[in-house]
Amino acid sequence: MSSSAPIRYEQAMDRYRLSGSANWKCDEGVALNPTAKVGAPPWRFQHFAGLALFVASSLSSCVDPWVHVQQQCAQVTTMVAAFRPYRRRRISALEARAMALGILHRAEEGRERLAQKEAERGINWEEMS
Amino acid sequence: MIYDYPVLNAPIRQGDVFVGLPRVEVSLRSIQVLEKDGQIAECEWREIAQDREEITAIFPLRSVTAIVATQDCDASRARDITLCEIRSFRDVDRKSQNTTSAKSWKNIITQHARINQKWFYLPPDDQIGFHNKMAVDFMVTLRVPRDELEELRDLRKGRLNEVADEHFRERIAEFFRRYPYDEWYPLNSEELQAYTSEYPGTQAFHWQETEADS
Repeated sequence: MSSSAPIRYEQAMDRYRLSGSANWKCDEGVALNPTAKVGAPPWRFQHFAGLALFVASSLSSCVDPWVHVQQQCAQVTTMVAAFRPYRRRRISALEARAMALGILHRAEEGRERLAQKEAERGINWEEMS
Repeated sequence: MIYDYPVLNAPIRQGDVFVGLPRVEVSLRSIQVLEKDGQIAECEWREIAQDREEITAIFPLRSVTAIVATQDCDASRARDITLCEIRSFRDVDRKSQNTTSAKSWKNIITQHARINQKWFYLPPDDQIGFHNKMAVDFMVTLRVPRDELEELRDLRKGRLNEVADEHFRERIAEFFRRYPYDEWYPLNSEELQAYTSEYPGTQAFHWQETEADS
């Protein structure tokens, strides 16, 4: 993953939310519920859902000079800030699979909801015919 | 209809339709990470971003039909190819869910297409495998390695012909050139009133307030 836009890391969690270069908008309707059962995915053209492993690089391969400068400036003012400690929660393979499929279904449901909302606006083409 | 059927070794071009490519879904709130000890852990993306490490993670994906959006010059040499997902037209444009008459379809395909820039209409075609009216959803994109997609050119079932390809090129460019604006800005007081009755909470511009006062 690469980004040429500034990504602020050194910000106190109790005052700011870390933000990337864009307005991060998570998939709609995401709610962490690792114990939820996942129903069969809707069939469209007989496709199937699968899980895949990806190697994700968390940052660009080269250092953004802007980020480097920001971090130097931020160090003095944010070293004493209270950071929310991150903890990775260990989960089973089955839980991971359920979570991943839940993400997929919620993303698709989010798109359907948006399409429905947009359809409720605008011209009714049936009435015009 | 509006499609050509290139030979297997034809170069990948904008407008090529592939059936069966992976569309990955990512949640920034929940990443399933494969740890070095082989265990799986869940965390938020911001933690990974802050740690600045390469990670291996699990992401869900679905096999979808998609059309090449990358322009030809890039499609021949770029590392990645970007595609947009193709789905049933009635799913992409819900307004057409109950549309049946030819006149309504005519209105949607010709006039509505000029208004709604978020999709591109694709008619049915048995050779490609489109049994219903379809649409390219510009909002849903995939990215795959070019050289690997070239190895899977047997998944390419057709491409847009010259007329459709030119239209597609212009439409996708228009989609990404959109910018947000308040559509009620040119309405007079009467028209604004009608707009506000449908969309309460609309904030009039100062020139509209001035007109209302006068």
